[in-house]
Amino acid sequence: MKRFLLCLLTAIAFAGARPSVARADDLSIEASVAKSEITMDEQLLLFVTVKGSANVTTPKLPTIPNFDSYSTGRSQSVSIVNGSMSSSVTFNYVLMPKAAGRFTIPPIEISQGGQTLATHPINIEVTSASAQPPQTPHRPSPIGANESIEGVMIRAHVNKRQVVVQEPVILTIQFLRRVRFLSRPSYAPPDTTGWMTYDLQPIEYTTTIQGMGFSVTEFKYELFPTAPGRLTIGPATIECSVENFQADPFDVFFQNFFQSGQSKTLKTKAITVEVAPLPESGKPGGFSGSVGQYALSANLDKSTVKAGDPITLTLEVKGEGNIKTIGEPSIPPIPSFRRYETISSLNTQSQGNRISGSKAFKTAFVPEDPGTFSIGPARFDYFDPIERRYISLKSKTLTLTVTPGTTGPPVANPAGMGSAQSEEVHILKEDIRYLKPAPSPARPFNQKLDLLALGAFNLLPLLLLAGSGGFRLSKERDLKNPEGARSRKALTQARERLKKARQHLQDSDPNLYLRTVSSAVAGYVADKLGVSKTGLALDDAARELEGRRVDQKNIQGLRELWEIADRGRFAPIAMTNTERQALYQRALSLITQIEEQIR
Amino acid sequence: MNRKIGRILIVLMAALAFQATVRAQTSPASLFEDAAKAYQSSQYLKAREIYESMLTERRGDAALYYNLGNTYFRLGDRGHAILWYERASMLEPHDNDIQYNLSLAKADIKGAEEDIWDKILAYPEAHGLLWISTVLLWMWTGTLSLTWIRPRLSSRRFKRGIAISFALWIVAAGWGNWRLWNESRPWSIIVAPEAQIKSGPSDDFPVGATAPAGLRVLVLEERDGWTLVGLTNAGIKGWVPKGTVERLEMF
Repeated sequence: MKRFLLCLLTAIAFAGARPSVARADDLSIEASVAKSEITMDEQLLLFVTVKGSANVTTPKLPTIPNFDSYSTGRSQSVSIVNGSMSSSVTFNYVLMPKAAGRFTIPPIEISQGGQTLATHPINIEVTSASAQPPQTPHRPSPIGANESIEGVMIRAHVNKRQVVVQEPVILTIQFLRRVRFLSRPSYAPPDTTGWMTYDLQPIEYTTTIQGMGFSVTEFKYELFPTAPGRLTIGPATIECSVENFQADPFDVFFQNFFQSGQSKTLKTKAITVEVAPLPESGKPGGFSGSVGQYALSANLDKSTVKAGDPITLTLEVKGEGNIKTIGEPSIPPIPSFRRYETISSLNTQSQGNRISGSKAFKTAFVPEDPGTFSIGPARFDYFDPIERRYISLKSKTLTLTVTPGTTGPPVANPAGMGSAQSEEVHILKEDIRYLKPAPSPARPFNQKLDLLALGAFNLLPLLLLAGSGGFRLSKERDLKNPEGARSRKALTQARERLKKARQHLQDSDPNLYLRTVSSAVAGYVADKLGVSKTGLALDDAARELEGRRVDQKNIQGLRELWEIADRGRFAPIAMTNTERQALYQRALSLITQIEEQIR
Repeated sequence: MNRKIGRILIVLMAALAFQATVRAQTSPASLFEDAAKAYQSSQYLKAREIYESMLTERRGDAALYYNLGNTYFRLGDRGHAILWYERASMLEPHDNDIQYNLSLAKADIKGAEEDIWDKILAYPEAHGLLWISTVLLWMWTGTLSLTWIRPRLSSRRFKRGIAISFALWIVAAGWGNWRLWNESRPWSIIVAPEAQIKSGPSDDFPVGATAPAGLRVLVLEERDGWTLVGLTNAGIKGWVPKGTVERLEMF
């Protein structure tokens, strides 16, 4: 309807002789507040009015220090005077103080047609709530005698201000109204950081306050403090648009066309609760932090089972309290039972002002040996906030009969983990591998025979290395001292030459044999003395040998041998084969004796 | 006369047939089958009895030790199960089944965990390493000898080959000898359900520590019915009653 009227008015303006176009020069902006002094419990209404333009943009509301701000809509009026149209749009805001003190609402700007305009700053004084007489007592109803009654109200209260950790606190948010809503109210629940929150069933009823009938909606929460200290429950907020009964009837007429009623943002006060730690005295060793009033039960899905088949033990803790935080009851270990991971399931329900429910812990066991076994008792420790003491619960002891098992298919997934249809490999039960079907060849533990062979194989290359090392050293020594090497090898060389002489024993030319023997003897002497064999004179050789302490007898023998050989070299002599053999032996014996004596 | 000879022959044949039957019934393969049947029907004590009856004649049989370990495992005697798995592992260190069951049996024992270096160091067999070291020894000594005898053959390639084979020989020989030394140490397994380790060889001394069944320990001394053991991982040594531990090496 409003849009229709706007379109109609615009059409009339354009249909006229010459429609007036709002100029930038006509633009103005103005800001005002309902009150310049408020308390912490109050809200401040801020109105920003933009005039002079048919199509105004929304002003930029700056960040206002120490206030939370919300927009509650806009109202617009259009006037046409002598074919000229002017417009006035009011933007409504609600400011909620966050602290007491003197504050300033900074200039609010609007930009249009290349022109920027701003409002003047507005000073606001916020006084603390304690300085004012209490306006709202902490009770849902009746409303205090001196409390102002409005068409719509919101209240919050708790049933306890001092609790221990995990002790429940009931928070009630009451939403009272006796006016008609023009739009659906928007409810924002309180900030409960530091609390574990359970929603209770909201209730609606009607009540009478100071003779006025109110419809009441109660939002209820059960809160469990998670840590000791001063914990705060933040304000709950309701935004709504209601009929304005106090407005002028003429305005109401126009409001029906141009406005959506009066916007309201209602907030509850923050509530602080003192949370004490749980007492240390009497705290059981197995206490895992559960607080409330509980009962414990235990049962097995079977009383008789075959060895290797799974059973499921269910331990259920039931009662009132923070069901989510209930810890697992302890159970004594069961020998020769394989235990699988425990799976817990939660069941909560709200009954009146309390959360109740149960938490079940299902554990799969696989007995491995036959026999009769006792399972339990399971134990559960908790703190009762009503009795203000720790309580230990014990379940009954369960008896299980395990009969001898049979080999068969693998154990089914005992705890329901994974799925048989899954494409992944799921290890259901780790078990040892089966027997070896046949004996294997016996092996000794210590293989000493191998070690002996290893030792021999390791010794051989070392000997080879030593030999080649000796050979290399000898070669190097010979290179450094060739005369010494010649002397050292003289005997070997002489023997080799004499061997060659033996090859000529049967030769038809006896002189060839004698020359070879002569060469061997002379060569030996020359090698030992370190001189050239060519031109070696017998007298020089004898003198040198004498100087090297060679026996005279051997020197004489050398002389005789040398002369015989020389004679044979230069004149043919007749020698029998026996004589040749004797000469060979004599030469060999002689050089061997000289080798022993020579220094 | 002929009839008499015939009777003697019949008796002899019957005796031979009986002996063959008895031998067949007590052959290792048939005993293995009997034990497996008992094992399958959860008669673990009977299976263990059969396997233990074969120990004297079948010493060094890794399959027998493995199966005996299985029966002890089924009987819930983790200490003896690990003892026999370890013995089987000494004989067949790379048998997959033995290693699997051994690690499963040791899974819950704190202090028996092996880190990655322990596993790497223990993976190759000592004898294998020593044979490899022998080959490497031949390689570097042979090449070096050749260059000494025939210096003309000496080249950079030869020298590099000698250096590499020498370095590998040092590693293989050191590793193999360490493995051999480690294997020869008096390793034992705690076979009692829980060993109470006392500070002296008498009941009068206080219990300083406890150790679980299946833990590998070193036997350091034996005296008056007490055994001094060393827990290498925990750095603890103390006395336990004789019979609490059993040596790994049997023969």
